Amino acid sequence: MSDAPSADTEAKAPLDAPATAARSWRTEDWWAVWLGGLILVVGLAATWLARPADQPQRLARLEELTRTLDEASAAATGDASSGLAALREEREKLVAKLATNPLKPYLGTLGSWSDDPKKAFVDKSGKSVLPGVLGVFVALLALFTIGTAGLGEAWPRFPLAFVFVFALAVLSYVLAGQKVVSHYGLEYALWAIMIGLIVSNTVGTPAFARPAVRTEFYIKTGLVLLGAGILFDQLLALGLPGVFVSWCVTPVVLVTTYLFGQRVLKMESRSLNMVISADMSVCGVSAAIATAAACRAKREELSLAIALSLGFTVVMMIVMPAVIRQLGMSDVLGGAWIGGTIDSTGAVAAAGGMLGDTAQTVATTVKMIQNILIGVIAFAVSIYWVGWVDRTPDAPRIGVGEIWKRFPKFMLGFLAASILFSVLSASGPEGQAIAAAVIGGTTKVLHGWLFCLGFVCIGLETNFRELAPYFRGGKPLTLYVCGQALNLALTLFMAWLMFEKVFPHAAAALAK
Amino acid sequence: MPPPRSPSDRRAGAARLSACAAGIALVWLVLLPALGRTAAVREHVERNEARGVDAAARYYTELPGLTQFLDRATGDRRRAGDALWRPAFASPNDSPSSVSTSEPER
Repeated sequence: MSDAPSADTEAKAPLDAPATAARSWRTEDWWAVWLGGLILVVGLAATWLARPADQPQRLARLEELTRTLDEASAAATGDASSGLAALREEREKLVAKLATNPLKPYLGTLGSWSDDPKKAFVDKSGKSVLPGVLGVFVALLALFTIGTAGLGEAWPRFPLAFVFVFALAVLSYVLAGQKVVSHYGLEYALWAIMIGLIVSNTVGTPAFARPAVRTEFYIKTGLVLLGAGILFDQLLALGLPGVFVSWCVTPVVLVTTYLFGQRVLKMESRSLNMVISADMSVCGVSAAIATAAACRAKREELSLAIALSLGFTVVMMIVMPAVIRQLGMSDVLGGAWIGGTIDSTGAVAAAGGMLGDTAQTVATTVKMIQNILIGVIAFAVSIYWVGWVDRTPDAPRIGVGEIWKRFPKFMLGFLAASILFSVLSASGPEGQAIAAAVIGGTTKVLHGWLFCLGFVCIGLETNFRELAPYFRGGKPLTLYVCGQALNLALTLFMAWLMFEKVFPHAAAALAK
Repeated sequence: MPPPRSPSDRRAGAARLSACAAGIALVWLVLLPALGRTAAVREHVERNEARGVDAAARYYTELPGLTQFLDRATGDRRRAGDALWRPAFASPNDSPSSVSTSEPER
């Protein structure tokens, strides 16, 4: 983001000096790559070493079950449905046991609650989640103390400061865990920013906490971990119709909305325009975080984009299933429309679920394919920004060396993690299970905490008065509404064309 | 934002913080639980819980049961076979009943 010292430092650093070259590997961007990479390597090693001894037999049994299930599904009649369900259940249990992540019990997050916030500290089975939260605290404290030292800063002041910031992140998770809030998709990002804003705008951010107020460092490291979940082998999950709905409409909406913001609305800030366009067209908060980091948007801009996205997510999650029912759309078409338009992934699953199993599966899968797009979008935005937007009038053309110098280096970690996990996931059932175990047991939890810490820090560094100019003229709201209207129309048209006209048998196969 | 410096600033800041904390406590401990007890909201929450949906997930990897979800997506693709790749106009003989399972086993 714009205040990132690393990006600015890297942009101005003379690369020919050997001492500077050595220092360039010790920037915040690179440290985010090192820390994220270390977490991924440890997670993969632990899961790989914990493979069951009878894995070959399990894989053979899985292959046999898969074949039986496919044959039974193809010939299924109403009478056979209970047998199919039993086969499916046995297979799912076997798949779940192909890989276990031994780190999972030591890394956790808070639970949900209805009336009593103390219940946020126990899971669904009533077991305390504190060991997992403590594990996250210890792991992140150790990693970021090393990172702070590696950046050449006064690390002894970091641990106490981190305790304060982490405590605010815990409070944010408690607020986000309230069931009404969480089941309407109002995730912790909003509450983390709010908690930080309240502290900074009332008593002020304490001086002792400042060494741990490292918004960009947390977010960039979280993004490297998020990269592990961008599994390109899942891109074809819905075949050609899925690619058209998710990967053709989304870039068109993104580019059109961005151009509309620049040329029609004449948005003052290009980065705000880009972050809103990306979170509206791709996948809400995660796309906002990734593009904000790629185009070095201001913290206030990221906060505003997230607030807009979450506000509309709540409305669309409730309204869209009702509209789809009223219009009498098929479950596949309705699911594809929901998946392609509602920003937040969880809200897509919830809205799809209101229509039924098929709609939920199609909606979530379309969203998953769209989620994968954030890797490409973030990379493209970072190249566009360093190559065109950041260009000075006296340097109309920028060489490859200059682009490399300005390029946000953490993006390399983000892409490398995506490629590594995509290859692993595409290697077969065992690889897919290992990738899912590492993502589910390590990276998902840690990137969640890192983004939460980042949002708390955004709040701690923001003055309410700095937010006011962004609301002037209502341009961000207009941009979002116009972009979303285009997104709704184009996605519906493409989903109708693909699932009802060009691939009607695909819809029938998915509904089967 | 730097902390307020003078004692009166600090007192005003502490008062504002207390007011915000009271507001949060009122909303999260009284209003939201009451809203959660209304029929429409309770039904929404129960439906999500029954389906294992985490409506606050930001990314598909955060949805519960990731391993099963990925496996199901792979299975759907394998079972649907040609149906997901061949347009209706390119394969006039294709119909929903002729769904192929020709994709290689994974």
